Amino acid sequence: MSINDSKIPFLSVKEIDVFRGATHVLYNVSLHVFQGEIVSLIGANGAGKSTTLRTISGLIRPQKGTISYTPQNGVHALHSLDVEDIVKAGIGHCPEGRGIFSQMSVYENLLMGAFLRKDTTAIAKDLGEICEMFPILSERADQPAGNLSGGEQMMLAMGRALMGRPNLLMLDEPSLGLAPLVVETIFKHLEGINKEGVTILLVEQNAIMALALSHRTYVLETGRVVMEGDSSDLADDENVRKAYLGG
Amino acid sequence: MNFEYIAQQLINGLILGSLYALVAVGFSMIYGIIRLINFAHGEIIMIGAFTTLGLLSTLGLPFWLVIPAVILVCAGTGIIIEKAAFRPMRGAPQVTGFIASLGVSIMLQNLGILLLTAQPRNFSIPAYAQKTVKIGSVTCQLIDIVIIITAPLFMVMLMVIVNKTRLGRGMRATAENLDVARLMGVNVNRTIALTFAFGAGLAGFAGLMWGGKFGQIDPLMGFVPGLKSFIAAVIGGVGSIPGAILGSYLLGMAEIWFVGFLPPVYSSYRDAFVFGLLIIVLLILPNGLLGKNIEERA
Repeated sequence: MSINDSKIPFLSVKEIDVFRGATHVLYNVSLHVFQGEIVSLIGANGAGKSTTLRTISGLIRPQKGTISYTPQNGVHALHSLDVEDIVKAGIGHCPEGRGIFSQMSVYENLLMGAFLRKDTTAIAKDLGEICEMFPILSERADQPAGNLSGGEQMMLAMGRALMGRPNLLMLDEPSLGLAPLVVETIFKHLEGINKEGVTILLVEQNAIMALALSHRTYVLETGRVVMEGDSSDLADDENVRKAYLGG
Repeated sequence: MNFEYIAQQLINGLILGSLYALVAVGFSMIYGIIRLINFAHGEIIMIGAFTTLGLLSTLGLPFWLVIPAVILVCAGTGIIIEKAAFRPMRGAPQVTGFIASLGVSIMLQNLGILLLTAQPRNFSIPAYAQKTVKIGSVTCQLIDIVIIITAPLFMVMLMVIVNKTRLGRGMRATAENLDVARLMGVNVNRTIALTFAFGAGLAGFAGLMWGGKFGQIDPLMGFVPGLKSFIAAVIGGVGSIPGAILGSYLLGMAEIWFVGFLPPVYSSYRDAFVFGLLIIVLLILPNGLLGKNIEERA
């Protein structure tokens, strides 16, 4: 059920090899995301899901392979860009463990999301919209972000990522450590964000939720893509059910 | 012991505290942003003092121009030190950076001896800065007043930058989580370099004032004041700028009062007293007066 039939993917990761120190973490990983899609990346702990996102963001350089990002205004070779320029190109990354600046206020955290933007009036407008989406953030705007609960911190992390007005939003385990009800709220928001036109690349250990939300899914095992396809097909697949869905 | 004497000691304490504070905030900022205990920071005092001497006596520049020039030269030195010595070992264990900073410190001291000889030099600031001023019945030099007023001004400026500006937000974000700061688009290398520049600029200004106040400078002059400023930063809670300021004024005041109000036989124990004070404070408050418990990054 690919919603975009254009031939050029929005994001295309081609045959990357990634090392962390001496450890070979990703082997020849390829994946692509079309504009408007929600693509999920599932797999066990240590499969290399976070590393994949960190490589796309530029925090880690691939040893081999290319990553290209093709929004309306041309092609960006992400594998050779600085993190700063990748952010500028329109890629938002909501990191593992949420990465809230706990000693800064909620408001300052949101401003950090707009760090590279200069359009003050538009920033103020976006702040308003995000506070509308997550009212708790405006209630607690002046408190240190470390005082928020886990679910609230996740909302802050999402809001902060959105403050950068990303075209592609990558989320690393948004469900981690959150109560099921909160996870459901978060995923509803993700669906809404996607409907507004933001393409989403989602890393999840919670395969059930990820398969239900996303259009397409990649399964990562010990640093290799072992399966890919429409999420609905994968959810019915015998092997996926056994390995990731508990039956 | 009369009122004048007490007021005089109070002023001396403020002066010493101000000088410590100018250096200690740099220690604290640098520790805060990359968890580096930078022992080379004290040498910037020496570099600031000699730069002042060179610009003032050798080149004959006017004093009002020398002050910003010294701050800029030292800020630049801070950036160079960060780039050359500390950036290559970013991500290495904390102790590696600590050892490297000791190395830079020893290297700068010896470079100073090599280029300038170990001979102490007289440091004379323009006569008008040494003019005595009478406030009521207390006399002090103009430079004393300049130190007491400018140091807090610099502190306020620094706090405004750190707490209210975009650059400051970038600094605090980098301090809390370097990788996430990068994901927000912060150029962390530039931010860290600027942190060194701010710290070193202020330490250089302290060196200028140090020479002006005490009249003699030599290539090893930075070590002990640097160490004591570091102690002040630790007492205040290393990583916290208000803590470093508070610690500095407390330490400066305590040190002067120790010398000024105890019988003269004790005055040579002044350094021992400073370290003793550090031990006592850390026994009671392991994180210092205003320090938060910052977890060490792996």
